[in-house]
Amino acid sequence: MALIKTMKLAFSYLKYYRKQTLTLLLGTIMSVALMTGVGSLLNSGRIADIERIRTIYGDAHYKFDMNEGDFDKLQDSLHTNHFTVDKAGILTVKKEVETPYPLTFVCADTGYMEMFHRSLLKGAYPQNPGEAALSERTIRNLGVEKAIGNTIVLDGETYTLCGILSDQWDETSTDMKVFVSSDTDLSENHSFLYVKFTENGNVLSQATAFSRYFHFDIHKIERVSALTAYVGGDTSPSVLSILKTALSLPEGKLAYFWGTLNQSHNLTEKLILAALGIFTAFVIFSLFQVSLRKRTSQYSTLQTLGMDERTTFGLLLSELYMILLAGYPLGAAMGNLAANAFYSRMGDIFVNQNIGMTKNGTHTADIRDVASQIEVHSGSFHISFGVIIGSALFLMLLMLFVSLLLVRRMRKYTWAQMQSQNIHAGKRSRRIYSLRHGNMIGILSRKFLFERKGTFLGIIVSLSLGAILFLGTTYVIQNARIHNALTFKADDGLASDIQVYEDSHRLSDVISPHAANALNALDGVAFTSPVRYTLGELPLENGIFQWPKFYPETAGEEGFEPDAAIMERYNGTITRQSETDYRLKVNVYGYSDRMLQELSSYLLEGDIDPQSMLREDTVILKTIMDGQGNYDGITIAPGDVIRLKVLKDTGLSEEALRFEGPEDWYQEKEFRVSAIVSRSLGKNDNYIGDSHNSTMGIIMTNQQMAEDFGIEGYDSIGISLAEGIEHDKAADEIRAVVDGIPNCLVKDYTLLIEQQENYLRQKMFFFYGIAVILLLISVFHILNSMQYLVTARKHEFGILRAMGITDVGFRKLLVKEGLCYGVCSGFFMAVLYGMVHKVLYYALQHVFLFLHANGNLPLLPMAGMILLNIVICIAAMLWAGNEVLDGNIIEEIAQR
Amino acid sequence: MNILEVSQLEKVYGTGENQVYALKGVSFTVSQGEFIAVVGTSGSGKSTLMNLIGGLDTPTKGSIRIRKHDIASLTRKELTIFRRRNIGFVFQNYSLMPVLNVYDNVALPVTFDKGRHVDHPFIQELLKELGLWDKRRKYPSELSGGQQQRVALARALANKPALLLADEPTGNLDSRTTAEVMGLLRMSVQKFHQTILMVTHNELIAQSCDRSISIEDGQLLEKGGDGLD
Repeated sequence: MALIKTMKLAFSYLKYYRKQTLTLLLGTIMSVALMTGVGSLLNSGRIADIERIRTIYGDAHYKFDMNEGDFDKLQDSLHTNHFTVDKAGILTVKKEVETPYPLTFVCADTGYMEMFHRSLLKGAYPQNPGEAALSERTIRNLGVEKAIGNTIVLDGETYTLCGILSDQWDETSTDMKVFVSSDTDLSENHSFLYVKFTENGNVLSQATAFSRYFHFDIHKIERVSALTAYVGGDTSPSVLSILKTALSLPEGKLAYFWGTLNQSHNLTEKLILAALGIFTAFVIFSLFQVSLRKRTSQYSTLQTLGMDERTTFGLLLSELYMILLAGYPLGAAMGNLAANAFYSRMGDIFVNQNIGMTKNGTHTADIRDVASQIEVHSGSFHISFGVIIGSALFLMLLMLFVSLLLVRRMRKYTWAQMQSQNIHAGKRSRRIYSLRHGNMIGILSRKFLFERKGTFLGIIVSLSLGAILFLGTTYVIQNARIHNALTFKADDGLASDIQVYEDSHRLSDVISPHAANALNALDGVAFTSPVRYTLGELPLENGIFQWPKFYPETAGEEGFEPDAAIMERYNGTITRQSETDYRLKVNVYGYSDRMLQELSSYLLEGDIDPQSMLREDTVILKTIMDGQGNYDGITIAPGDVIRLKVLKDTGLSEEALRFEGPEDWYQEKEFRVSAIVSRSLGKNDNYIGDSHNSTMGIIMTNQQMAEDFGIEGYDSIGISLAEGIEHDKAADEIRAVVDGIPNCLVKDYTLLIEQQENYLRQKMFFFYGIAVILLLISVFHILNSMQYLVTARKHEFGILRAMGITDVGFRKLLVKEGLCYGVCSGFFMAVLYGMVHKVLYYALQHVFLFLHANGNLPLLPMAGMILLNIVICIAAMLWAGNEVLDGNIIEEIAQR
Repeated sequence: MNILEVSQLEKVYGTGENQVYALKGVSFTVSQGEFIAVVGTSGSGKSTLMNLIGGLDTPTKGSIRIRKHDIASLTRKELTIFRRRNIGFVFQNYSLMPVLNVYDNVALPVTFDKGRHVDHPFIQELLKELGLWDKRRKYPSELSGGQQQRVALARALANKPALLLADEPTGNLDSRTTAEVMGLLRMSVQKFHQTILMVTHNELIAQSCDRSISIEDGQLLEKGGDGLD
């Protein structure tokens, strides 16, 4: 009964103070819309990620070695109380061959074929020994004719091509499968079980129960793809254990903590939602506080009449919950409707583009295949009920806390104080200002502002919060744009429209200068960027190599094994000579002047000047980077001298590339380092690879490559097409020029570039949109706060007007107050943002590994935000002041 | 010399059927140094009369002349400046600025006039006369009702106004403090030759004034004394 009465009273208040109620409702709707809308967008992106992983890597969660467990009763036991197998498939490895191509002869059941999307495009699955089915890509890579019934010789045996299968997404050059019949007798017969558990339950606990049931050693379970992590199939370390490990690190504690949490617990997404939640909390608290302050005296009257604190608390809470009840569904609906509309147009930006990007199409000359295959599919929009429920709970708790806080605050004052709304805190100055100041308006505005320091500070904090979020968001966006553009060119190799390159493991396979000139002379070509290449070895002596644990060859850790092919062909990426001496394989590139200029964007130390490089015979060093964005693994600085060893004759056998041959196979030359960079352009992945973080590169001019090492031919040529030319015609002309050059392929990146640029554009649009919405909410909040500040003092303003303050004088008073709020919130924002900026800069550098994150404070945007805050505060004050000036002086004086 | 001349003053609130005459055909004059009580029952129109004279409200008809200035002819800005230089107000609820101490509250209206120096010796004299000198650094919330009203009176006198309008200045005070405040008002008439128009519904208090004007239903009930028409 008492509850109903309290709620009725609360409702009456809401109705009576209609303007405040509407303001609070609007604030709640906007904040909820933003929070739930963003939550659903992130959720939809996450679901699209999962679907993308399923498409690329298949449906299976875990792989079990069938030799290790007791799987005889498998067919009868796909469902128990502890696990439910949704799909299962068996792949039997019959033989593995390394040369001349890495081939795996396998036999798979229909379950496996379905899970990995291997459909039969033509013919039939092998039924008898001597029959084989291959994927389209394997057929292309093996160079066999794509015709059913055709005979092919594989590892000395003749097979009949009986079926053509669709390509497996993650099939790479080292994993080409030859499907044979189950009774084909080859050297091995090793079966693997691929299982997909029902995703309604915990996948990891099902896998554990499954292992126990089939007596399988739980530690030998293999995760098939990233899908398992998305459906809760990973053993993520606890937050506490991550923290413990982070604290034990000598450096990069925060980077490790953040980075690991980000991987295992989606920290960034949660931080975004938390930031929005805190912002919402501030807005609601501030709006409600403003609304409440107008009627402190009424609460005191009610308390005088016998209302206890619990009822006051209930009254406040009821008001807030009523607003939440009305505003939350509306806000969530509006946010999700807007998010849905946005997602249907630009949903691709929420999907992780890196999924499937490891497949670089080494054996695919036509990049259109890759472009179409990695095309991001955002899928349909999914409302995040988790965020909706979580946010509702968060707001309910927040409102509970707000009500408690306000009741506690009321307790500090006597009823008489509340009645007169004469609530002052702290000591007061006894100074007589009029003795020294002719202008008491300035004194008055200062007194009004600082009379309640807590309130003043609260308003300053809430005024600056929106600006801080806005600045933080734009800072990250700006850096993301630079980072994306740089990685786009360097890591994705999309620096030019079309690339012709040598797909070969022989250094003697090159594009002749003659062909390069012919390409450059083509009508549709704006310019070319030819790259010379060789493999080299760099001695790292006297302890200049700081990270022995960085490479598997030197780390000596179980489970961190070096790449077998690189070990076989090149004797590993690095070899240890003694405790302090190592020899590192490096990619040696010769660049055009234009490319060297472009490399300046990746500069870490030193200067890049092609002319002085040539003149002084200096080189640029592309260094290694650890998982936390540190580049100090190899302590070579500009000015240091390095000794580079390369082959004397590129025609030498592949054996020479191990750098173990007789001395007369090699030549050595010393160079002074002029600059250190973080990335290389025009990369060659064919030898030791060119990972952006673990492969060292030596970059010089093309002329140096010719003069110092006698390398005349080009390994790759990036071609930028002229504006407005017929693209297909130009591509055909390029193909015609390189036709006949051994192992020379043409990659057309135009589609990928367009795809990527569109992606970046949409991403920027979204984040700027969010930043603008935050700013709008913040502006709305400022307007409300300022209006309150004015209307709450109508009594005082009425007295001033009665005593003869002119309209101009009154407006001056308001301008001064607005200016003070603007300047103070601007100053506070600058200080607080300075700290936030430091954290963001650290995170961009060491957690998100942004290339060339700009550490400078964005002074211009900060000044802009301070100015905007000042303008908004003054405008809001004047706007609210007009209401006072339009009002009747007597009525204003009567207001208390 | 007439400080105030009110002629055929009319104030109407609302329109059509809802029209209410708050004041109708009110005319009278006030000479310099007079202490006049305006009496009437609640809702009789006495406060409306004070507000119109004080320029806080505008009349529907008629004229109000203070020191020969027709305040209806003044612009908003002129009226504001005229008010601050010529009229002092004392309200029932004291209406002091809570953020200023006693001294600054009293000096405040003078500082609104740019270039006009605050007459500190006069304020000092006022505060001493009103028994507030010791309390000059106190804030309104630290004073009793009587003390606050004395501050309001000092503030109203600080500008040496032609006319002091007091709207029920003792309405919130007990009898002892009422007598004290009335004594101070009387003192200001004598010492500063101040003209005071005071609204009260208390007949006893009205009797202590030089003369009284009675209003009922917006009209003057009786006329008496030299100053009345």
